[in-house]
Amino acid sequence: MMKIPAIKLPAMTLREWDGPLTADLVREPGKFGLGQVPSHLLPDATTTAICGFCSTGCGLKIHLKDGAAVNLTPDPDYPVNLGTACPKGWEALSVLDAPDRARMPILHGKEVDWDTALRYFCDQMRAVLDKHGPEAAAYLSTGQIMFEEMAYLGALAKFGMGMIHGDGNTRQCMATAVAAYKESFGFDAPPFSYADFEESEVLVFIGANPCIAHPIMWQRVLRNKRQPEIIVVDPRTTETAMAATQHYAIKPKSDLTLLYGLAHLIIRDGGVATAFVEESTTGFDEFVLFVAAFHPQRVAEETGISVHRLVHFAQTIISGTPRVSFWWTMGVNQGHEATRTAQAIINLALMTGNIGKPGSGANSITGQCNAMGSRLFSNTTNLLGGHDFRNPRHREKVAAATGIPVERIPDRPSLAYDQILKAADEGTVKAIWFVATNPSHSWIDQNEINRILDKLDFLVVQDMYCSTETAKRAHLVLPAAGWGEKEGCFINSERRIGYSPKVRRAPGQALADFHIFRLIAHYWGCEDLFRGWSSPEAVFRVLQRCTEDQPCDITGIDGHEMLRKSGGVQWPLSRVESLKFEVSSWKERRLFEDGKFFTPDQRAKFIFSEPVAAPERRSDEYPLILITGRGTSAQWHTETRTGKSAVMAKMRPEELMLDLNPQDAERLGVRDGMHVRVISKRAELTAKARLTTTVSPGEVFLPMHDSRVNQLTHASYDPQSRQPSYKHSAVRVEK
Amino acid sequence: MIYDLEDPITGSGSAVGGIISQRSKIIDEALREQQTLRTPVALFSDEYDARSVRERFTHLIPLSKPVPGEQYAFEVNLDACTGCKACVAACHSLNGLDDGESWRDMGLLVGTRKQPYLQTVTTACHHCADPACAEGCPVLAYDKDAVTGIVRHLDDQCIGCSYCILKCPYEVPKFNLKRGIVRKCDMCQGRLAEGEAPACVQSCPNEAIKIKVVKLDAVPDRGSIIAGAFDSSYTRPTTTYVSSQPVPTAARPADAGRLDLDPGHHDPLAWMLVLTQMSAGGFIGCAIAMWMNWLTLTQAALTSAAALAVGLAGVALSTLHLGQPLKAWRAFLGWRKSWLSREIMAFSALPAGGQAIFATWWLGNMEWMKLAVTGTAAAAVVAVWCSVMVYVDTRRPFWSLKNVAVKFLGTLLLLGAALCTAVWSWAGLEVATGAMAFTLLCRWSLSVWEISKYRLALEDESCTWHKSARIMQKHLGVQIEMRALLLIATGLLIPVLIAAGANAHWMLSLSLLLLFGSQLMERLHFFTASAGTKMPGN
Repeated sequence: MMKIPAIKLPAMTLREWDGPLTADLVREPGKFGLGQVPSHLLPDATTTAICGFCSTGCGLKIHLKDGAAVNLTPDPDYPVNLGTACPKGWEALSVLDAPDRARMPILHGKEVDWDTALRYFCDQMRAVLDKHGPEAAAYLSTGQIMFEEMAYLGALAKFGMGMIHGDGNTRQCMATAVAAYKESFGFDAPPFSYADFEESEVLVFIGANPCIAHPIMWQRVLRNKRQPEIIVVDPRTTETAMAATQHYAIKPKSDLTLLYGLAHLIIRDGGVATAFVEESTTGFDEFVLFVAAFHPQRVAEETGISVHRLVHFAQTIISGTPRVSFWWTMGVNQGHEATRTAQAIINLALMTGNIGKPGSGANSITGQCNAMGSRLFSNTTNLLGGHDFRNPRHREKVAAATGIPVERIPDRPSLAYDQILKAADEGTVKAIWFVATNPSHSWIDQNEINRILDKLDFLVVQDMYCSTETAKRAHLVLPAAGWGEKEGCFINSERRIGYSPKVRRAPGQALADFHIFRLIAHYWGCEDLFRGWSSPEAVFRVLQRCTEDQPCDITGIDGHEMLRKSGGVQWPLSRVESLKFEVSSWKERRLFEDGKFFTPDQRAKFIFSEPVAAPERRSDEYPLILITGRGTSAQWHTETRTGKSAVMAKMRPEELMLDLNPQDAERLGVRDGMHVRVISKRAELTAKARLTTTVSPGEVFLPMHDSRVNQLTHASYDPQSRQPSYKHSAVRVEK
Repeated sequence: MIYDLEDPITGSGSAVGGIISQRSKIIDEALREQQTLRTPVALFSDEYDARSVRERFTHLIPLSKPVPGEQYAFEVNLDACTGCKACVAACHSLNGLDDGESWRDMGLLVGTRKQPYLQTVTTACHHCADPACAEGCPVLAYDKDAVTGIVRHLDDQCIGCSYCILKCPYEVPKFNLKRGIVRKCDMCQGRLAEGEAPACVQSCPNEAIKIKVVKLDAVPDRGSIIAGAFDSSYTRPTTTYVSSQPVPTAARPADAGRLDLDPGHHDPLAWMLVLTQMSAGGFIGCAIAMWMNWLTLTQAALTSAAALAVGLAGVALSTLHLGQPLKAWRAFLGWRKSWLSREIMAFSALPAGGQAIFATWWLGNMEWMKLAVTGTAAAAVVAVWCSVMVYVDTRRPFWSLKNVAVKFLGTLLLLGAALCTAVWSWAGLEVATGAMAFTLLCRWSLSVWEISKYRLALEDESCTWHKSARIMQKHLGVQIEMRALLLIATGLLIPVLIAAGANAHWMLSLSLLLLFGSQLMERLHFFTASAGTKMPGN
């Protein structure tokens, strides 16, 4: 019944200093060290969570009232963010209340109960697997859920249900760093700690825009007291480039040539750390011969950076050694020769000895909150704990650690994401199960993937929201609880494992992914395999056993409680090390301080190959290069979550903006604010032109968050990492 | 503990019924567990942390309170602001604001082709030394704190007239539709009083926002606080933007080129202005005719009754735009400074004038009635002049004294004459013809003036209201064409039809209606194309 508000006459005083409207905004001491908080959101307890958006892994202090979260503030005691957060973190709770949360399972567009949904799921999957074999069904995991859940998914699908193929959306963000590190260091081991941002004398950011994409990491850069040189390599004049002391606006995808050119100059100008190279690396002599061809004139011509500036760049690295750190993210990872580019960065760090020391390293900044967890525990490319499916000893070790019979562990790794899609297109994969990812929006050459998804016999989407582009195509949607509605651990970019608690009730009958996997195991009839996997913490213990004697050994962590008490723990922490563990002095640790790597000969490898041109080049018909990337700090990927916050809506442009250089605009007769068509070979869209010199002539930029942008992108993949190349597509712009 | 580590899901039963009941049991268990939250006494709640907010931000707020002649002010270090917008989100969260409400905004300055530049600009209330919001408020709902200089809004005093939104050149006060009042930044004065930093200061990862004590004498009264901001001479904003590199002269707000209609709900005001101006004109017409002895007592009563009815309708409609109309009785409080307060008081003379006119008519005293009508007309003209000043006082370029005065007084003459013409025509008075001629003269002169000024403003980029003209061209083209058709109808077609023998009573009434419609459209544009100034946006 609607309540009719009683008309209240105003007070008969001349000025009302207080009253109900004033009371709405009253703040009072919040206790728990929070300072003043809004009275209507006064907490009776607090707890700490790890933010579930990006890989920075900020600590958030959750304000609880009767056990449920009412508000949050960044955790001042967490060693990552030191009391700050970006808007996504601040708004992490509000996006849980969106009206389009999935509340019930949805089968062919109709809400059904869990029993029906689970029976249908198992019947369909079993039918596909029985009829077409174990390669006919695949799962696609994510970097957005807790790793205990990822591990359950990977184990359930492969060991329980008998699938061979599974990959994750981390293929879109981190696959390159994985491939590069594995080959160069012998293990997927980002060596750094965030303290290195503060300890460097030279910071080189390649294809990274931390000001917008990782604002809290940028905070650490600004805390650097050494007045560092900040070098940005990016075709665009990003916010980070504006804040840098040197910006090299190279031609799109000329990064590999630039990096080899820098290596050439560093060798020429005597910047090689000979002792380190001799003791700790292999392949340097071949590398010297190889980069001899990258003389400055050639590099200047191919990158668009003058010889003089190239020399200055190289000199800055030489003079900053041994406190030079190299940081890269999607500008490198999402390239057609991404792994070699990442390795070219690693080579620079190795040859100058900028590794294993404070303020150094070849450092990949991760994307998603749990991309690093997925790298160790998703059971997709790697067997649990960074193991190899092909290695019989590894299979036996994991079987022993997990209690899964060894014969249930496949002896071959999965196909990569794009290969699974190709197989689906060819008809060998008939069913795909997507968990917490939205490829109908985010996958490259979107029309193509949507065409393929529509061919599937069975498409399942497990997500918080029933409104994602992918969920709308699904035969079955399983409603998932989101971050804050379940517990488990994330691993951030600096290898820090952090625990995040359950502080909210999920809407309707949405269930934590963990519960969903448990239920599926039961309905499938394989719950006996997962007898010990009864809670996230129990799975955490299983996974610890899997990491024993691996570079990522975490057997020394004493459960979730230790993670919470010590502000997260960076891997590795073996049982032996845990005896020496001190919260205060072990807050920030880096790898390779002893100059020993994880390769069989304990030496890092120089890996290189001749650059090749980007697959889709400019033509008369499509004369502009389209670069895609992050729009604002308030936008996250396909915006299934960030799109739900009214405050964050204030922080992003109201419509899709195309960054266009004024010189190109003049040629095209386009004025600022005009609506233009952006056309590639694959599709076209309409955007509002923003004339700006942040993009060079001949280049345009679109943020990836608009669901149409990936209709334009050209699908090509790095041959080593199979990561899609989002940063180089040919387009034209018309009025 | 919620998960029972010792009790995993039990093995599957053999009977079908057993399976079903067991399945529903484990689903129920999962759903129940999902809805269970740990209580605060459980393992995972912290009771206390070592470093309180008060200790963490002492270096970002002043150590002592301002002394007389000083006040608190925001200082923004542009070099440290990288556009993460945490301050916007934190203001919302730490102050418990409504959905989408935040008192901080983030904008962007951009350079030119020759001088590339990119700078994000965070902006909140500037807690001006001479706050225009406070000056304009008719009910004194703003208080500039004598010690801190913080410009505080008294939410329970506010009548939701939104005049402060028009007055503030930085777009700071925001209307809260749910509550029917304006709300704004109070520099988290309660936090500062306790030695805590404001929400935005606390939230900035790079410590770009600080609170400083500034000397009031030193608050600039010229220039602008940052590229694209309004001239500081108007309100003397106290925020300072500091940077190691000066902002390039060519830098401009990223949204400088945007031509958006003002989204405010000003329709009741447009109706009020046109109706009250028609009313004032009607009273003037009536008074002149009475002094010229053209009207009988009854005819004068009819004319002034028509003017009064229109005027009262206008005043009544104006209350529709108030969020808290019941509190409007305090509108006299701001009369010393607020033109809106004065306007409201002047228009409240209308009912009194009406009573006087009615009384003199009742008594049948023509001389006294002349004085009553003249007095009412004078009060109405004063009120219309206050209306003019209400808008001129906002310093919006489109609302220059000349623009507003010609529009408002022109409308007064035009619609006043048209009203008299219609009434007198129905009363069968000869003088209606003269009034009609005067209406025509007003119509054509006002329209010619308007059109020529609009054209000029559109062509001349240096014209102060060039932007408003472009907004009209972009968004209001159809309406402008409709007004041209109305001009033809009222200025040419109807007079010709009357000359050709059409029914003058009806034709003149129709003409009045169409003229009113045309002026109403003009007045709606007056608001929607007013192009208020603001801090740099996106």
